[in-house]
This record gives sequence, structure tokens and C-alpha cells, in this order.
Amino acid sequence: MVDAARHPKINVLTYSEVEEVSGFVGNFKVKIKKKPQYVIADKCTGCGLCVNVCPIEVPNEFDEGTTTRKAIYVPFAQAVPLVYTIDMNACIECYKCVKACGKLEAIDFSQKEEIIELDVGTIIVATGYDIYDPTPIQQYGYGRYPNVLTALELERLLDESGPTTGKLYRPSDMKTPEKVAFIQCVGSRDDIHEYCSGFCCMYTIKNSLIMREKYPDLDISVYYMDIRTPAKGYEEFYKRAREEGIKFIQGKPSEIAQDPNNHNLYIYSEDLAKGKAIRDEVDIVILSTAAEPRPDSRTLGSKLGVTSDTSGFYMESHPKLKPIDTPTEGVFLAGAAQGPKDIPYSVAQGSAASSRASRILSSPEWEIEPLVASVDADKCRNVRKKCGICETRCPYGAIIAPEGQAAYVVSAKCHGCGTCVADCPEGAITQMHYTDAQIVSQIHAILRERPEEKILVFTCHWCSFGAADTAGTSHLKYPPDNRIIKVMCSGRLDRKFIYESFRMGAGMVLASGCHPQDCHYITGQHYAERRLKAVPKILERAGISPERFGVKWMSASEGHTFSRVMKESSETLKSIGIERIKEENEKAKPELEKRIKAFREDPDIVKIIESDEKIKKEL
Amino acid sequence: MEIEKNIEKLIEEIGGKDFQKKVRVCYQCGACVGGCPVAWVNEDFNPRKIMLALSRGEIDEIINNDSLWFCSYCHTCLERCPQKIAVSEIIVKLKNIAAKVRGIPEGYVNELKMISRTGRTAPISSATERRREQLNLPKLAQTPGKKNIEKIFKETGIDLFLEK
Repeated sequence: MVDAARHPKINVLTYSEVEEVSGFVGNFKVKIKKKPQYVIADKCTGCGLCVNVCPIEVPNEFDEGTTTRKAIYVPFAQAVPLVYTIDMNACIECYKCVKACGKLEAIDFSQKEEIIELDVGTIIVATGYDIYDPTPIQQYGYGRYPNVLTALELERLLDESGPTTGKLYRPSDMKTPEKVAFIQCVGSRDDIHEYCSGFCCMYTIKNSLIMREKYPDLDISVYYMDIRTPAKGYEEFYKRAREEGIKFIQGKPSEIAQDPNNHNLYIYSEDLAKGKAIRDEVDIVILSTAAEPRPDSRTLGSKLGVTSDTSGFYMESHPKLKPIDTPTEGVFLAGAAQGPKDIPYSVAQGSAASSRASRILSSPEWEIEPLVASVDADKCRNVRKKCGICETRCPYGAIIAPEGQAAYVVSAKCHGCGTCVADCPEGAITQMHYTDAQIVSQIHAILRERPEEKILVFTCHWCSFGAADTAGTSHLKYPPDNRIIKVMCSGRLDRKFIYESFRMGAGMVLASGCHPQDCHYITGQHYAERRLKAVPKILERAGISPERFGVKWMSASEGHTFSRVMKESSETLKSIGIERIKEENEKAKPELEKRIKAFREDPDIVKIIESDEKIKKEL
Repeated sequence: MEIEKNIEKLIEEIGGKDFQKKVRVCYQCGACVGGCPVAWVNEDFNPRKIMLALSRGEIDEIINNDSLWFCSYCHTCLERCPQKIAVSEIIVKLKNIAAKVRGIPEGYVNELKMISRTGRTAPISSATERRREQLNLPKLAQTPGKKNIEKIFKETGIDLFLEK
């Protein structure tokens, strides 16, 4: 940490918070609030004379409240930079510290918070985690029984530089315990937190071995549901603990009772290996409590455009393939902020995040795909009346609809799903290379001849088109009566495409894309599904049999699904028969015409429609 | 009382839909046993083992084990379960299924017959009557609530268990 602070190219801002983040990859503007320490960093030598004279004592956070600190303090001995801070919640402004500081004049009560604005190219979020306070778990008595501690409190006791200089004392009587029990999974893998916190089995084994070294005769038990020691050397570590006589009892304790006279603890548990209920009297109980997201994580996340998952940890772009990236390009995750993990894993992620960031910082330009959306300000409803539908559709924050103004797209943030395009009630948004006209011209080209014999399949680039591809490379057979139109995301599918297809005489139309939760653009499929729900009823009202329209979700590996759906659709198409299809299409024309009215206001589409009508007349 | 041979039907009727499904999340931690007042004194009763058998569909085994009836319905298991499985409620359902298949334990029958006959869980002794007189307490009714007890026994189907 000292090296980082000394490095000429690294700027360490402590006691600071992120206020605002704006911009996009390569061009972020970050506003940071540096809180006043009331000590001038350049003048403070860390001599500590101020601490000696300060009359105020408050619980010391670093020692988990087991010791006190003064109102003027450093958080811990190795703090970087070694500069004192005054806790204004505790300080009574007696100015004794100013007097003690003397000629150095490092204390400045008039210091104000500073706003620092930084231009950065990338952001790495490594904000860590918090520890669960087990007080609500009443049956374990934490907070009421003095000799029930959390693992973090134990760490302070075992630390040579901690409150007891590394000696294990029972809080109730400061005696050395003879019998210790650890309880695992306190607040993890249950109705408080569903997940496993990942590192507690290892730290319990570590703490047990440290205790064994200091106190060779200490009776140590670990009550567990499962011992999780998967990584390199971990299982061997567990074996060593057993060799050192640390007892591992499988069973989640039901409750802890306290002897009111000597504050000993009675653990009531089932010993699963024996298959019976036991009561175990111990001197001190250590609870391995869950790792939790920090309480301010969602607030910071919303500033960065990073969402949290159901457990509250930051969400990565893909749990397997992109555990460091976030949907906001240029913002990366590292460490426990993304999910509970131990030191080796956190270090690896830190390196990975730096590497991802370096990719961006090492080139003068950053390439994105040109499939971006753009808004025709003249058509945008948000100018006259509050709309902002596009803004709600975008998972990347790439389209913004400021009050009373036309919406606009920050191209650098746009990933090109087209969901905003399809959901704009005014048709004011277009997607480059996937315009309405371009898609309609494909519909027309496909359905120009013998449309009623064809199944028009809309696919998404990532999943259903991939499925079609897989079917092909797997040499799976299916009838040749389908024609595919590919868009980047099912979110791009405007209902008008479906109506236009039937208006042009299609036998059958299918819309397809990724499974829910698999969408490459996070929420595109979700909005597509919602949007397409209305279609069957409208088609029915127009007189088109419901079997002629379908919505299918599949993943890129599902070649079999794609070929099966094509087979089944072809059979359905044949069973309906060309005659009935022609009849239904003819009857449906007026209703479908109404539904595609907006297309007739698009000059590029009008050209296509008119040219086709001309060709038809000539035939 | 007719013995119901179709256990599948009973499980659906009494256990309800997804009766076995809810127990599948049980990871056999034993928190239910650690706080169970019955398991503390009787090794044969073990709510964790009952949940294990149920999740594996071994309902026959559960029903044929007399220890099922030792559950005191104190709900400690339900409170302590980290997966929030309603262990005590599930055991009551299992008791109801067992009752239809095998009948209820003799002790229950005797107690219910006593209640049916006397309106009390235990008969009044003449010593008690004498003492009450000495203390100027009113005389106790001979068969209090007999009509209501008859009604309850009929509506809940208890009287079917008392036929022999």
C-alpha cells in the first residue's frame, strides 16, 4: 500500500467518496468528495502528540469495538497515508490537539470538504464487503452472552498487535478458555443469505490452528454443515487441522444457552455422525458470520451504472465468461464487491480487471460496433409530453430523455439491441444497419413469390440464429419452407414486422430469440416477450388462425430445437393448406393495413411497398 | 374404521400438492434435532431422519415407525430450520396419513375414549370431590360439554378411530 501511495503515477485519495459519474468508456468524468480530515496532510508527521492529549474516547472500529480510540486518530497503525483524522461526531473542539501540535500547525478546524473532478478512461470497482451482525439470531445469544464472539472479533484477540496482545481471553472474566467451539454458516446458506460466504471454512481452520499453536491443550470443536475447502492446498489444510486434534462435528447447532453463574455456554446440536442430540458445554463460542454487500453498494452502483444481483453483490456481465465486466463498458469489477471470495481469488480478479482496463487505456481509440440507435428529434414525443419509454428500455443507460427535450443516444454506450427502436411510440428512433426499411425490404423480398408456402422466421443474432447455424453444422434435416430474417436482438422485433409479413401473404410467422435471462443485451428478450404477447389476439381478430404465429425461445446450442420447430411448423403449415391461408390473408388485409399505418409514413418503406405493388400489377 | 390402502391418494389429499417437493431443500443439517425436546430424551425420534425419508419418498417407512407419534408439536424445529421448512406441520400431516393407514396409537385411543365418556382427560376421584366440599367449592359436573365433544369427534372423524 505504501508503494502504491509513493508511486508517481498513482494518486491515492483516502477519506473520499464518489459523488457522481458521467460520460462513457474512455471518457468518464468522476466527481469525488474528499471529506475534511481537519488535518493538513503535508504538515502532519504522524507523531501522535495530539492523540495523547485528546480527552475523548470512542469505540475503536478496527478492533470491533473491543478497545477505544480518540476523537483524533488513525484508523490502524499501518494506515496509508499516515495522517490523522478528527472524527467530528466525537470531537468537542477543546483544541488541546492544536496546542500539542504546536509549531507544526497541522490541525485546521476550518478545513472544508473538497470536490475533485477527474477525467478517467476506465473504472474498477473493488469496494469489498461487510460482515453480518448476528444479533438478530437470538438463539445464538450474540450481544447478550459475553462469551459469544464473531470470527472478526476473534481475529483481533489473536492478533499480537490487538487489544490483548494476541492472548485468548474470555470477555466475561478475562480467563483463558479451556474449551472453544466454532459455529459455521451463521447467516449464510439460510433464510438470511441464501449463498455460501466461501471463505469462512478456511478462516476457521486457520484460527483453530493458530489457537492450537498458542494453546496446545485447548479443546477446539468446529460445528459445521459442510466443510468447503476446494482450492489449491485447502483440503490438505483441513487434514492438518484434523491431525492437530481439532474436532469437526457435523451438525448445525439449534441453540446456545448460557450458565448465568459462570457465563459458560451450552451448545444444543445434533451430532450427525452419531445420529443423536448432544449438549456441549464450552467456555467460548465463535460465530462464522456471513459476508454481506456493503450497505452503500446500491447507491454507488446506481452512480456507476452497475446493478446488483438478488444477494446485493454487483452483477457481472456473465457469470462464467465475463466475471469482471459490467454492462457499462469501461467499468469493471474486482474482489468481494462482485461476490464473497477469498484472497487468492480476489487478487486474481484484481489482475484481471487491470488487464481489462489496460486494453482500453492502451489504445488511442476504442472501437464499437456501428449498429447504434439514433433519435429523430423532430419526431420525439418527449419534447411536448413526458415520455421517456426508450430510457426505461435501455440496460446500458445509452439513451437519455431529459425533461422537455428530445431523447438522444450516447453512441459510445449503445450496444445495438434495437429495443428502444421497437418500443418508441412515435417511431422516432432508428437503428443503423437494421432500419425498419431494411427489414421490411427483406420481408418483401422473401414473400414476393408464393408467400403462403413460406414460414418467415425472425431470429436474433446470438441465440436463435446460432441455433439455426448449429442445426446446419450438425447436419440435422428439416423442410426447406422456412426463411430467416436475422436481427441483433429479439428486442428489435416491432409488431408491425409481423403484421406486414401477413399482409404480404406469409403462410406462417415465427418470432424467436434467447431464453429469458440469456439475452445478450440483458433485457431485450424480456421486452420482446412483453411486446409480442398482444399479437395473437390481434391476429385472431383479423381472422388469422392462431397456429400461424408462434414465439419460440432457444439457445445457440439448440440445433435440435430449431430443426424440430421447423419440422413441426412445416407440418402445421401443410395441414392448414394454401387455400385457407389465402382466404384468411385476404380477409385480414383491412385490419393488417390499419396496423402498419406508421410504415406508410416512412418514405423508404413506401418506396418498397409501391415498387412491389407495381411488380404485382405487371405480372 | 376402514384402512386406506391407497397411500398415494392419501398423500395428495392430506399432504397436498408438492408435499414431498418442499422437503427437497433439506440439506440434513440437524438444527431441528438439536432443539427438539423429544429427541433430547428419546433417540428413536429424529425429525431430520423423518425429513430424509420423506424427501426420498420412503413414506411407508415413516408411517410404520411408531416414533412418529412422539412429536410434541412444539415447533422448535420449524423455528430453527435454516431452509424454513415447516417440519412440525409436515409431521402432523404424516401423522394424519399414518392414522388412516394404521390407526392411531393405543394411548391416544384410551385418552380419547376417556374424554368421550367423561368429558375430561382424567376421571374425578372421590378424594377430589371430598376436598372440594371442604373448601366450599361448587360440585363438578359429571360429563361437561358432552354434546359438543360428541359433535367435535364426529366432525373431525375422531369417532371413527374409537370404533373397534
